[in-house]
Amino acid sequence: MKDGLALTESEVRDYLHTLLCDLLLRESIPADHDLKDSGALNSIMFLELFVRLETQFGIHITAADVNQDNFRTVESITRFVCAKRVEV
Amino acid sequence: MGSELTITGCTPADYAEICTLQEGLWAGGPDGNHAYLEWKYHANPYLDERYTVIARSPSTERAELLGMVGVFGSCWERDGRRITLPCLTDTIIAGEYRNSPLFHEMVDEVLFRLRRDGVPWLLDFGDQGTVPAMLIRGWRQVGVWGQSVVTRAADAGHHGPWDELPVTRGVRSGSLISPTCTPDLDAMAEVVRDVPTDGRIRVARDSAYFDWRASNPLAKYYYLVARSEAGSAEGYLVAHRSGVDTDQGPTPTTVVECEARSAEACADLIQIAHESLPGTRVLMWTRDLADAGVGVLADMGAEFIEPTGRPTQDRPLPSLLIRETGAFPLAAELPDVSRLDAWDFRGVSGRGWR
Repeated sequence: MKDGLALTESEVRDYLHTLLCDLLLRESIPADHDLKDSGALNSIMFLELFVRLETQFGIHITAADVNQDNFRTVESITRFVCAKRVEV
Repeated sequence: MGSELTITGCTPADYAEICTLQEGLWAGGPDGNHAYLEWKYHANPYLDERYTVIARSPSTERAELLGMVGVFGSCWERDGRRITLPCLTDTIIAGEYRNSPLFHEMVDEVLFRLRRDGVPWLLDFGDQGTVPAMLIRGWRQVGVWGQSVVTRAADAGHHGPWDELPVTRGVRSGSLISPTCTPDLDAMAEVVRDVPTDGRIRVARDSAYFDWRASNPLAKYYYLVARSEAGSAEGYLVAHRSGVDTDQGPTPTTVVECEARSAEACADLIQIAHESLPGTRVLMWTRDLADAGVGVLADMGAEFIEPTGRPTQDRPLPSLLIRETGAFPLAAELPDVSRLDAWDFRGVSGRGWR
């Protein structure tokens, strides 16, 4: 797989989709699936998600980053990761 | 899923069923777990079980218990005024409902009840492991702070009954430091009363509080009191171990309070505690700890773990989350409650209020 910094936004979205499917043991997740309202991701899963994102994209996720604007759907996480990569 | 369930208030009549659902959570056995629920939610001096909620299945014949979210009372003071704030704590979820919205639905019911009664905030001093999902749900992280860890040999510490630990003279303060297995309520309350506040929010500690905490049926407490030659109380320290672990078992020993009239007396208490307490790991919050106390811990080889601001790194550290319930007006005396520097942890070095 390409280095996380080299991925296009579309590839980031695909990576996140695969990652969330792994965490949730699902074959597919709609782009607008609401991770907050579904309650499907518990805190341990969120921490694993953060670790994978930090490792793959070389970003640092702070407590201030963890809110429903950034982590509610695959789409919002994609936007967050792409914006965060610019800060690196 | 959630619309099929019934979420109601919890009463002592539900305790036996709660213990059956999650007998392993507190590891106290059916009787010990029942006593723990009675102590924490019914005998709490500040708040009864009115905001603790349970979830049941929709069955009309026998609605099965599926979960509980506990809320207990903590009392805080600022500039002589006291305020009780509810704290979110023990959570139980039936296996088939984990990773479902049930936990959040129960918390939402707690928030509804608090809002209805005009209570503006819900606190959570819980483990860092729960933080991300709560932040996503609108909680705010007031802060994360550091702690020290002193790792000791398995045979370290005083052997034998705690109250047979010899009385020791503190090398810095000259105070006589003596152990007790039960709290010296008068001495401890006297110290707290005489330590001046600094305008921040601190835990209200009086005889009723100390007496309640000491009654935790699943805890072992170790007390030290420092006295002057004339007999006045100069400081005290309280340490906690799980009541269902052995002295050298895997659970840590936590210094939950260390309050003193002087930094020297505080440092002496910390030194004697870390030399004498049982347990292979002794933890202590270092936020607001005076330099003399930090120096003692450093001399004893403590590891100081400081927050990074990253949830993936800070998980072992203590933290405070807060959630506004939507009740207005917010308490005027606590406009800065969501800022960590508004909280005074000088005398509190662990989760001493539970």
